[in-house]
Amino acid sequence: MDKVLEVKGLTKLYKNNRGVRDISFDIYKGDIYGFLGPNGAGKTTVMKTIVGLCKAQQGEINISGFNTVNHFEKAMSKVGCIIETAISYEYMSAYDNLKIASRFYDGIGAKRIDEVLEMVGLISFRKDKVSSFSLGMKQRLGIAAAILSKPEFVILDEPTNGLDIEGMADVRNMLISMAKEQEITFFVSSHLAHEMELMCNRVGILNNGLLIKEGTIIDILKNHASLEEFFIEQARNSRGDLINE
Amino acid sequence: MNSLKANFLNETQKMFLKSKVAACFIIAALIPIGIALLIALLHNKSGILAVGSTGFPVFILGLFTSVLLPLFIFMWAADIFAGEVGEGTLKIMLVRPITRFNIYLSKIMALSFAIILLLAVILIASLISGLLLGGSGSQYLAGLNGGIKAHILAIVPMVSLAIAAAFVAQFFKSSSGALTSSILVYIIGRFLPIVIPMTSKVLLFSYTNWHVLWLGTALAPERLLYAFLIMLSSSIILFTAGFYLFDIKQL
Repeated sequence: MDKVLEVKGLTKLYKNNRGVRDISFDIYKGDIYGFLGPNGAGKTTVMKTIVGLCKAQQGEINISGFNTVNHFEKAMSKVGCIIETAISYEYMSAYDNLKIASRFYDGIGAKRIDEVLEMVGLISFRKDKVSSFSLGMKQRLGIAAAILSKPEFVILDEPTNGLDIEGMADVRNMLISMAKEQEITFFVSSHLAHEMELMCNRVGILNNGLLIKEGTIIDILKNHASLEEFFIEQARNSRGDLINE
Repeated sequence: MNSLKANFLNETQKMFLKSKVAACFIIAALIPIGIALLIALLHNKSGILAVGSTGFPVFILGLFTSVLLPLFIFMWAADIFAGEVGEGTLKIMLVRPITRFNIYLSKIMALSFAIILLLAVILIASLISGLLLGGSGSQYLAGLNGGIKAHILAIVPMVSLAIAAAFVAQFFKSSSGALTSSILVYIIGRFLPIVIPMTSKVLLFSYTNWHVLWLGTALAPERLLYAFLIMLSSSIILFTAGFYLFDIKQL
């Protein structure tokens, strides 16, 4: 299978010595890969480093075969992402926000902008300023900006964070249908095990800056009642390992 | 689209959608008109003509290049660099297929473009309002000629100031901090030569009115070249240092 993302030995530590150590994993075409871990486990750090917001101390990251340090433009040309929160220019309309993003890609014009606004249910607010949007609307606009360029790979950090139950279900269903219909590969993070179980086909468990376990949801559910149970077991085991060490 | 061109358009669009920037342009258009009205009024009352229509555009430019234009430039640079870091909007560009160098360069290009437009607005406003000051057609034409030349020349020091302001902005995470510091650095730069006269020769800030050097009857080519080289070299150093700080930024 085609590797969309390849992370090898990624280490990124902050001044306070927190961060992530020796993270290696691959994401294949068609995956909805989930990063599950508590707050502060290092999920966002890994994602930030992949898209170049942070610089790694060690390790290598390739997206669609392109190294993100040496060939940043090529590596990012087929990537869409939301890191931390969906940020937009508040003083601009939803349409103008997407217009700004569209200029980096060939063949993305007004038609495609309206198409993605329609997809995320914001078409009737296209000319409204983002400052008047609710959190859920901003999140949906962020998703529209992430998928605007018809990317092959989309990275979403806590895409359902701050959303209500209905909003969470909307985003989840949107991702699942996009993965199926448009063959987009997703890399999402969350601290909600149930969310990941419903959305992903593969997950990586991150705890205290280490990737402690990886597996497919199908395999995990063969031996465990839920992903949550699996997560708690893995987190306890890893604490045990640390104590034993 | 080429990523540099794409982001130059983006940065320009972003700048002009801000009411702050629009306000600068309105102020720039109104000041020459206001001053011309004041001069015409004084002339009518006292019979003294402080500035004729020939010297008016250059006189107005002198007012702008010392105080107002640097202030506007510092404000814009603070907004598009430090302001975006503070608001978190810088990330929007950083995760698109564009290198940090092209982002930095396109921001400086957008600033330069806004400076050129603003100088054009000041020139047009002072030419129109110069009509209020009377004078013969030939006097007015002389003013037009000198005015155009001076305004084109003013682009050089103003763009250098933008590059300097962009460098200062790299140390801050809010536009207000960057703006205050740029103003402070500028004030120190302007007043330092009073204390240490030697510094006037090497400081970028001493050349904001360099268009005046070009307008005298006796041109001194070596002084012009010297001034140009100081601005050019300061710009290169500050651009490189500013980009370095921008490139190592971790968000």
